[in-house]
Amino acid sequence: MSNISEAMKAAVGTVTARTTSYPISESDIRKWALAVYWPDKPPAYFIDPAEAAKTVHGGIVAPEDFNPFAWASAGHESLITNSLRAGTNDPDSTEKSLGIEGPGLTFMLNGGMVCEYGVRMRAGDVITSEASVGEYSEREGRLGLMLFSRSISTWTNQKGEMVKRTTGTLIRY
Amino acid sequence: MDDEAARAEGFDAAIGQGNHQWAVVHRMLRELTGPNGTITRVEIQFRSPNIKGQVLTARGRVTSRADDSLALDIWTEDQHGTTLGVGTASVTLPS
Repeated sequence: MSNISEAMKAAVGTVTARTTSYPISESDIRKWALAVYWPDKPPAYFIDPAEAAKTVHGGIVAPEDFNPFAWASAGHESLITNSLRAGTNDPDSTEKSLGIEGPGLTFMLNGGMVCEYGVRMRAGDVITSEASVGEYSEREGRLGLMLFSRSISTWTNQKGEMVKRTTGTLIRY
Repeated sequence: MDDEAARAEGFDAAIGQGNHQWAVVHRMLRELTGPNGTITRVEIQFRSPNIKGQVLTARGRVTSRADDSLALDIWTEDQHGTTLGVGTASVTLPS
């Protein structure tokens, strides 16, 4: 018997939230690079505009893992108005946040994430993150029927260019 | 998270976010591509959290190459060689 209800299938593709960053500054990029390379020095092309100008990017670009929402967001819009109440660590919180009933499974674990990269982020960019519901699938595993649900976060810049698309997988059983 | 909160959840000490492993993996891939190469795709499954006091290392092994495009198996491990995260990546080297 499947744990994927018709309501869950219908929810696939739903955009649930939109968050907008403040304009990225070179200082943001430097701070991020300093943090992720600590205690080593980051490459000069993340710090020094003259060094960055020698690269194919022609200036400073952010490390791929840079998060413009790490400190604060300029705006956030939740697009789901009929969310159901979910407790902390509720395995059904994904569906309840969409206003539908979940499958009522007991256990959940992080199934990992995959990220596809587009254009690089650079100073002045305003990034919009759009969260949406990804596909559901099921597979028989050692612990019984496992439910795989995916959440998608798509970042675009102010030109509408895709910066990255991250798909997270939640495993429930 | 502090140590006390982590111990209440069954960990030995404060745990780091998966984003920490994510950043170390990207640093390793950038060292491979240089500033003019491209990281096109990264996939990772976090099998164990990174815990305060661990020394985190990212490693990769090239599994295939087509012109300038490389496919890699990637993983993170602690100072004892215990695997924390595993995955794959695709990068393009500068022409």
